[in-house]
Amino acid sequence: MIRLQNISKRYGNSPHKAVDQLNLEVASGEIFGFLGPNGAGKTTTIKMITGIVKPDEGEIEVDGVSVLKDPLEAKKRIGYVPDGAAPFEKLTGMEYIQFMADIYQVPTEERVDRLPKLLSQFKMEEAVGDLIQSYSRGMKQKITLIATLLYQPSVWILDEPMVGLDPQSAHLLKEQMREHSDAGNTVFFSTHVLEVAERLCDRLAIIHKGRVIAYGTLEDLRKGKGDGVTDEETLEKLFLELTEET
Amino acid sequence: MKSLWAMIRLTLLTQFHLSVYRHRYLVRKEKLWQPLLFFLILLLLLPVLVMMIGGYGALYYGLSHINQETLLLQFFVVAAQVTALFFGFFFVISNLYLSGEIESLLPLPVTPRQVLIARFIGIWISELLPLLVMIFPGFIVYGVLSSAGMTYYLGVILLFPLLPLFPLVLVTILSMLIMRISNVKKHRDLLQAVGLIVGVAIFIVVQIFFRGDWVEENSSALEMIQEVLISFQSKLTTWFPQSVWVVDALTAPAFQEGLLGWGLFLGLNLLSLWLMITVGKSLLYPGVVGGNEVSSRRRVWKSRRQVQIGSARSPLSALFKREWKLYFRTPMFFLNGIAPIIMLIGASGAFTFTDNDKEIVSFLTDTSVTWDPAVWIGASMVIFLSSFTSVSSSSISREGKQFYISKLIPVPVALMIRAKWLFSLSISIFLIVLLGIVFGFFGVPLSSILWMVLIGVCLASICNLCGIMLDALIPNLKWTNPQEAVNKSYAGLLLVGLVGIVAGILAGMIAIAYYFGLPSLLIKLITLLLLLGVNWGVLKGTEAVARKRYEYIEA
Ligand SMILES: Nc1ncnc2c1ncn2[C@@H]1O[C@H](COP(=O)(O)OP(=O)(O)OP(=O)(O)O)[C@@H](O)[C@H]1O
Ligand SMILES: [Mg+2]
Repeated sequence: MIRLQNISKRYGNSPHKAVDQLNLEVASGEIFGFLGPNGAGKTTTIKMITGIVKPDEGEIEVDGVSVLKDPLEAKKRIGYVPDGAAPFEKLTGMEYIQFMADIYQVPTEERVDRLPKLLSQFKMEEAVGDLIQSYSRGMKQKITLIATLLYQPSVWILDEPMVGLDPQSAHLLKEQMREHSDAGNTVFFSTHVLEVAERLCDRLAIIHKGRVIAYGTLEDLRKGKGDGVTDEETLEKLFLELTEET
Repeated sequence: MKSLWAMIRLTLLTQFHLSVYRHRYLVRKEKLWQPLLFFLILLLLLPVLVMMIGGYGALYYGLSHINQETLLLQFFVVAAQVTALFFGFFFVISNLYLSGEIESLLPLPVTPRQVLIARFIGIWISELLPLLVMIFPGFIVYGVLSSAGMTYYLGVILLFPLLPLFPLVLVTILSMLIMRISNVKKHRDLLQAVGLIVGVAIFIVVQIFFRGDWVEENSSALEMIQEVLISFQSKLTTWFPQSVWVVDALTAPAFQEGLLGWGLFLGLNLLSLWLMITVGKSLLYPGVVGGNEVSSRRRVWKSRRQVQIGSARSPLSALFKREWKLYFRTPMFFLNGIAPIIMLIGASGAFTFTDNDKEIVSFLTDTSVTWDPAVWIGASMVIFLSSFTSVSSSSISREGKQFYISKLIPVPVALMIRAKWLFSLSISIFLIVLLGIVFGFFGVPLSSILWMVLIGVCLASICNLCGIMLDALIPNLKWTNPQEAVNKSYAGLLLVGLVGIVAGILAGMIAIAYYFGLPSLLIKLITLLLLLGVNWGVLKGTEAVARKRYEYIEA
């Protein structure tokens, strides 16, 4: 579960807020899509949820734990896959996974249980012993995905996770997201690939200039647009209309 | 020519971050405290400068007693050149190859010659700046004390910038050769080892010059010093002929040796530059291509590794191991951090390996009533050396863009700080042990060495904690070239200044204690206990500062 209440963030003394009075609620067991044009504030919002950026105001809760008041407890529940994942270049994939597992205190049995399966699913068995520096973009993405899945976070947050993945891996990731949410966890991801959002998300939000401009199931969004919208209207069209500059 | 200028401009702008600073301070008017801090640091370093100038003056008077004042000038020239040669090697190889910046130039329509010239100018200016602070005042001191005329000062202004040129040309050619050869065989890992060995070799060569037959016979102390000086001068002259030319150019009458000095010095430098550019044209690029390749074994993940996954470690040991691996697997971190310091200590150890020098040592041993000064000198060397390595003062900055991971993971900030502290302490302990061994060569008794190690470890620990605290206050996470993380930080500069002040205060207190005739064992014991107490306090303070700062630092 994720709850954002009136969070705002302004970088430096920029005239515009990157995130402006944002409210969101994502329930456990659902896949939530976070859409918006470039620079809308998606990454900033995600960084605030994960504790990387401190919001200027507002309250953030993860599974009922306040990120601002009890950061350690909240962070234990979060798995974060950043956009353009850049884990430590000078560690090997395995060392990175080990590091994360130690930090999140994954018991030995669980590691032995899950890791071989994850590695073979993502086809990373061979590369896992190499320095991350030698990885391709997609491989870096996969190693971060594996590292987070290893500790089964109850809130899984992914920033543009499909970018750079080959079709097989993208398909696998979608399955993993579904599986993870079916197990009662929260999956929150941002994306520019609207078909993915359309097919995968239980609910979604579109943000524009730091504010939520549409929020709900795809059905809700269509209804919200009123008369001129037919049932067949794609998310793409909706997105374009909603975020159009006036 | 136009693209050459564009390249030079680009190099200077990126290397010295001029665009960033201009944008930040003049356009957006943000972080204006940073320039202020810079001036503060300069003020902190001022007493050091004054002391240095005083030292130069004293040297001048000492030498003028035996009519050898020009030896001082010769010494300055050699010091500038040796510094450039020694520190330049690591700097050049990092800057030219390891930074990866050149790779982004490969697709541009510029010639290797232009790239090399632009890069070399950047390197040259960077090496000149510290010399300007440390050596240039020496030339002025000499000018004032010898009441030199206008031509002297004019000559200094013209010649001074050229002093590091020749050594830098040498190390540049050397680096290009090494990179070219090591790249042919695609053994990048080997390169780092080779680089270090060549660096050591350069230093040993310089070292050989300092060894040898300084002292013919063991007469009186004054005569001995005089002999040492004269043989020193003859060695300078044979090993660094440029130093004689510069001295002639500056002090001899223009139409006798003076002109010859100018001609020889300028001629050699121009010739060497031409040589570097000529070989560089064909050597530079082949060494760059593939510079970031790492050997990739792609071994199949076997059951042996399964055992490794099984072993869960505590977060602290995981963090400590991460510090360790990231430091030693980034060549630019250790090449610009601890490598020069280790070599410095090692080379001073090599100093003792000649019979004649042993006589100096035994001379010292005979006259020494107590080895206490060795303890204190050793301890203070420890803190200066460990602050120069900037291991602690760059410990947060080194994380760079990956700092987000530290904010992400559910680990108390205090624990991360402790891992950083343990890491820098382990490096310091290594340096202390090395220093202890060198002291042993010099004949310092074991008990004094043990005291030095004990007090040194406590001092180094405080100094490391201060470094981490300073880095938490003013981290530099925005670097693109890892060299910047260890070399260009306010925290590092501040730490050196701070260590200087703390060492001064401590030295004063200890001197007072000795003055009042307290037993030396008691003084050492009290100091040790005092330091342990301070350690605890500084640890708590650093943790508190870091906890607050980690909330706000954003990568
Ligand atoms: N570190 C930063 N410093 C200053 N401004 C920033 C910083 N990071 C983001 N911004 C600004 O905040 C706003 C939101 O950026 P954000 O990265 O959250 O967008 P986004 O929705 O993730 O975009 P994209 O789809 O391109 O990833 C933008 O206007 C951006 O310029
Ligand atoms: Mg983004």
